[in-house]
Amino acid sequence: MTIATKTASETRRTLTRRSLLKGAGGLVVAFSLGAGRVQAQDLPQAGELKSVSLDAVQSYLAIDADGLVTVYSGKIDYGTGVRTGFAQMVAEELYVPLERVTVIEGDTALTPDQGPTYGSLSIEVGGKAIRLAAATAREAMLANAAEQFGAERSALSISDGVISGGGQSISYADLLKGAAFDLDLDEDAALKDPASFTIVGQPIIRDGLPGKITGDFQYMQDFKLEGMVHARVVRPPAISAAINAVDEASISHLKDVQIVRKGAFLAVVAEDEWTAVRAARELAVTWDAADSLPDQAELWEHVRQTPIVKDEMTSDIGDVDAAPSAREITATYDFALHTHGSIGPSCAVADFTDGKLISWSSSQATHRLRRQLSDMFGIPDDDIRCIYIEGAGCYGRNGHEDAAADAALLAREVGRPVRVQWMRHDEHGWDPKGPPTLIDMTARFDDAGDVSAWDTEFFIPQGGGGRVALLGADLADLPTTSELNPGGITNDSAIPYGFPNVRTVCHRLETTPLRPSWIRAPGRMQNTFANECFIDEIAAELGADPMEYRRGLIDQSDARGLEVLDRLRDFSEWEARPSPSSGQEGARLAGRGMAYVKYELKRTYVGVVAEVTLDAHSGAIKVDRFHVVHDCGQIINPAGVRAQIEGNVIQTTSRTLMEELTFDRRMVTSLDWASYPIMRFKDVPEVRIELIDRPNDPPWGAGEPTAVVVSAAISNAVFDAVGARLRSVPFKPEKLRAALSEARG
Amino acid sequence: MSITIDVNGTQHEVEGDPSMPLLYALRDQIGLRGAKFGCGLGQCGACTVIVDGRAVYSCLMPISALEGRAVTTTEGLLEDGEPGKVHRAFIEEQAAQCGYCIAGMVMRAQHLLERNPDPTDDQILDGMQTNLCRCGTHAAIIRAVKRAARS
Amino acid sequence: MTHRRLWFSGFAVLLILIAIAFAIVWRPAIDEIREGSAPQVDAAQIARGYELAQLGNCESCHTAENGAAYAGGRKMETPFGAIYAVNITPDRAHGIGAWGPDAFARSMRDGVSRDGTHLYPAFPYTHFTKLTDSDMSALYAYLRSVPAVAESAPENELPFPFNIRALMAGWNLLFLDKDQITPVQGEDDDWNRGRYLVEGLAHCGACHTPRNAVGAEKSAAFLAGAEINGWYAPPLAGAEAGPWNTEQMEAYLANGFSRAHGAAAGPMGETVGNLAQAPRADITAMATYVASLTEGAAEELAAIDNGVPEDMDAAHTLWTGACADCHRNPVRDQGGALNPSYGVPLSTGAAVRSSKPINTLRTIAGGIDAYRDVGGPYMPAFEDSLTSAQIADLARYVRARFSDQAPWEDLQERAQDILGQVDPDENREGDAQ
Ligand code: FES
Ligand code: FES
Repeated sequence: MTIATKTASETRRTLTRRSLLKGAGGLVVAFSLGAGRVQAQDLPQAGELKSVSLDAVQSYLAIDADGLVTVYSGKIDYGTGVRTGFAQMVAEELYVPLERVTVIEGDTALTPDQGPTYGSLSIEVGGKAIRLAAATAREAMLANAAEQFGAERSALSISDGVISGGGQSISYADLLKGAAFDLDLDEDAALKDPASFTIVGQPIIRDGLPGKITGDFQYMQDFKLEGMVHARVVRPPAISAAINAVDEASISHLKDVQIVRKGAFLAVVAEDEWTAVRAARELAVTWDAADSLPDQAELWEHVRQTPIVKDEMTSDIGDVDAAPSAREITATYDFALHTHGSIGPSCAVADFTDGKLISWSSSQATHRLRRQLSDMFGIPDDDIRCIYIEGAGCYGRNGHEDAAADAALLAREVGRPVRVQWMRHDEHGWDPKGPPTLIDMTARFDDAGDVSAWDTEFFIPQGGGGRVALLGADLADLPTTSELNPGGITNDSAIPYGFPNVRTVCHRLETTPLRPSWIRAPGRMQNTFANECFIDEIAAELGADPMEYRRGLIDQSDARGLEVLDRLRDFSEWEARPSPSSGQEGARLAGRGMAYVKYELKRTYVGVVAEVTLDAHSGAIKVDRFHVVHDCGQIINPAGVRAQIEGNVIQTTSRTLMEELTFDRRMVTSLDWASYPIMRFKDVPEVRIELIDRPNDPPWGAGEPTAVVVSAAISNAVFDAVGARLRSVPFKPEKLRAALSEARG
Repeated sequence: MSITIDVNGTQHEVEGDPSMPLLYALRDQIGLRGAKFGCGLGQCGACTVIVDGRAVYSCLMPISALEGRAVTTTEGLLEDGEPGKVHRAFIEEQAAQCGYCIAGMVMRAQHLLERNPDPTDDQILDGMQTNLCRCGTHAAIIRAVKRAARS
Repeated sequence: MTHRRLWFSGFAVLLILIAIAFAIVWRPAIDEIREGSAPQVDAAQIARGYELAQLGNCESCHTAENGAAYAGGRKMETPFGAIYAVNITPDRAHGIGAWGPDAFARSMRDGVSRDGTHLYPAFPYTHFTKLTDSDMSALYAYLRSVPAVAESAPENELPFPFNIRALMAGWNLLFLDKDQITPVQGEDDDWNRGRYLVEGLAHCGACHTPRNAVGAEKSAAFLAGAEINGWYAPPLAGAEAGPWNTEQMEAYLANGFSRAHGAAAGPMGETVGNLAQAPRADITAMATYVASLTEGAAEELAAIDNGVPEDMDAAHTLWTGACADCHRNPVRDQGGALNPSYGVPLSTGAAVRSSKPINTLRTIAGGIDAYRDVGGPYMPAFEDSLTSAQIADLARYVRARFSDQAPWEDLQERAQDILGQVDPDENREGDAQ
């Protein structure tokens, strides 16, 4: 059996660390930060250096002549720790120390197209392939060594990257001599027994973390190329606008500023960054702006009235219309538009030389970005290379791809490498947004008082998790896709509860007020909010304990679901009783509420209990504590999982209590942190976490699944405290005051 | 125009428009990347550095106001190239998700601890309140500040 | 008349005088109510009392920085010395837990504590005396519902003779007008309700009306503007005021911001934080009344930009690097989205037009932080990054560039006062000039 067919000198398809460094300028970025001038036309393209196909081991893995392991991942890390997770999985399967593993992410020339990074699927899906590649490689190397040693495969062992047996030993490095793996991914490759894991399952400090703290880490925002110029985009004062006049003289006091104008795309380019900032600010432009947005005060009416392009039935059990209906309860839930609010606005660098483009960005979908840039500029995919560099966190797709398009367009126009840094108002104003979601719920009861039907309707934008039109292309009248892409937002509209008749319909709407995008658990968060509140409404209606009630309704053969609920009851010291609580006096009231999800009805289980205190006079809600019980199967890095859970709870508490994007008829008006406040230190809840580790089960996503239960748990806790139901996110004080006066009648 | 600024104990000549905020001088001329651009509006604290013992937003600090003043950034807290006390506490608590806010958090914490080496929990919350984090790392950051205070 | 009789008469007159003085000064203690004997109140009354407490801004004064609500301890500087607000939580020993409704009402109307001692008018009973009985009861009900806190405020720091509380009896004789407010015929309900609130519970005059030598509000200069606690409470009535219209004033009171006037900062920022919890109808009423006090048409002022003033290059440099990104060129702002902290034309801001520089100086130094978590106006503080000379320079610059008013005097001294320090490095101050 041959595992390495050719050596480095024989072919370009092979890979050594040296050739990587010499030939692939872009890769220098991954190894030594702050690379020198890179010429786009020198850059190797996809498949030139190595395979990027989804079924070849070398697409994912290389071991160089020094025994250093390089992992190539199409999924990328935003600080969530997946890079570290991949390295752990590979080090584990290969029996090498973690320090010897380097991960290269999201480079269209080097990494396989594993799809965009989303849905907390990186470890679950992306990691699985990488682990298989490592196992396939290891098994092949073992077989090869057995052959060389003349020994039985079963007599061999591996330690520290050295295969030994029958009195002989050889390192991976010596075995491979720098050659690439010429193997197909073996779906059935033997995986290491989790019982013997020494690296997976350890709370490893996430890669890059120390440098982020000392200032050494290079973010996208820090990336520089020699000869690079700085650009700022001047956005119109309306989504629908055309340039009327640009007064170039208004910035004549600034040195060497170039104004780039293409359609409604307007930008300034300068040698130094501050000059670009000033030029964008001081350039006098008049625009012809038009109204294109609905009146925000009538937003929900607008959503309800938007034409429906199709209905998707995500569950249809029994016959809801024929179900007995002695009485029914109905409720409407809504969830505001949210912005990503990355602390670092989007940034990209591009070099466009001789018709070839190299683009550095924090895009979590570099392969898709390449296709979009190819459309935009009318050049083949092969002439474009997109390279990911970690940026400030976003939680889905924010403005990275748009910044990449801006930079590419400007690089083409000015003929030099260009860095585009969005300003705060660009980010808050123009990145795609979590769409407004409206949900109508109905439950019917039979004569015996049992629920006979669960009937819900979700008003959500059409489209999937594909591409979002590139802003720069749009403004400059260049080709770009114009589909709506809110993500897989029908997920979690169906419920894990066994009612006799269930219908969940997603009305897919033709349009949505602002460009939609997936933001942390898109759809799943809004849908779970409504579902988990409404199940609480039913429990209250029936006078049942909300925990017990849910427990009785989930599939009784789903042992993992039952265990999550049972452990949550104990962990949170849940007192079994119906909500609302009784006997509280005064204006400061305490409540507890729970929510549960089996993510997308097929993976990670999360149960949470929120404890809140509220002020019935002012309507202010303080979330004191969250108890989280979490089962994501095998845990790769418990420190990473805990950090993800904690971060998701805190961020979603912020979204739930205070966040709401505002807009006028022309554009977004919440353009900064003052007009779009997010939660700060004093309001942060304590997060108590119990992890259920299942080393023998597949690892599932951790992160988003926790986010989706937060809003409902808070709403349910508020109901428990005061008997008033909050059905509209965010739960601003005035909404609680209104709900209270309604509850009091 | 050229202005001399003391950054982390070294004198740097900074060239350019005197209205240029310190943030750009640090990042583009002096070559330090700890201080981050987050808003340029004094709202988020990602750019926080210490000037003459006070935590300031470097995005709103024109270099013209800096002649003769001493600036410390997160890089200046290194001790012989190794992470300093506050750094170590943040690393041990793994207090970063994306980490973009963190260098600013470190400087805010450093400033807090310089003024009050033994802060109460409320004083820590109060002291850190100006800085924003979007990843929800707050709880870990608080643990790190407490750890730094204890060490 | 014999010598002896004369002596007797004199003695009698003295006794009478003492008796009169005593009668004026002396107030009986009102008995403590027994534990648990406070009158039963319903939730609606507490809720109403809460709203009234917001209109009265009670919590702001009766809560120390980072202290428990209503537990007192907040220091108020007066020309006579420092006074600390007392604990008004229902704690029996430290607060007003032992006070019955009559003791509470007497303190509010007469400025006399339950034990009979006189209160100082830093507690604005000269306004609260106007409260109706039902409002008084609701407020009492609410204050009994807040959590009791066992803490005492620090002792007042008043030198002799101001530490003699009995003197306040004479003061009250002169300045305490207990007449109730009666509706003015011909004005509408909003106006009358607004007047009742403004002159009574909301006690706007306590800050906005100048005081005489003994600390009483000058009735002839009602709401004519006054310096208080290091801020200038601008005129709300008369030719110097405004001009405001009802909508602008309502927006300002409810949200802390009016595009035509700027943002509520400092103590007014706190007040707005409380008013935001009050019924909108009451805010509308107050706005109606206050707006009626200004003279002239309340048109939006045209934005002024005189361009970069001569000889202010250093300040212009500071402005460009530190201020301009938020307070941008109004030309750009017209077309685009507007929000309170972004793109405010400074020339319409009351602080820049004011006859006194302190609000501008204070705002540059301390920023505006009251609305940080509710989406209102925000401005970062510059006291840690700029010197007092630089702050003074910026104030001079914005006045010259964005107003048509005469330059301010004494900016440097006032800025130094505000920063509470003389900069250690004089050279640095010189550089910024
Ligand atoms: S970048 Fe300076 S405060 Fe946000
Ligand atoms: S760690 Fe990402 S913003 Fe704080």
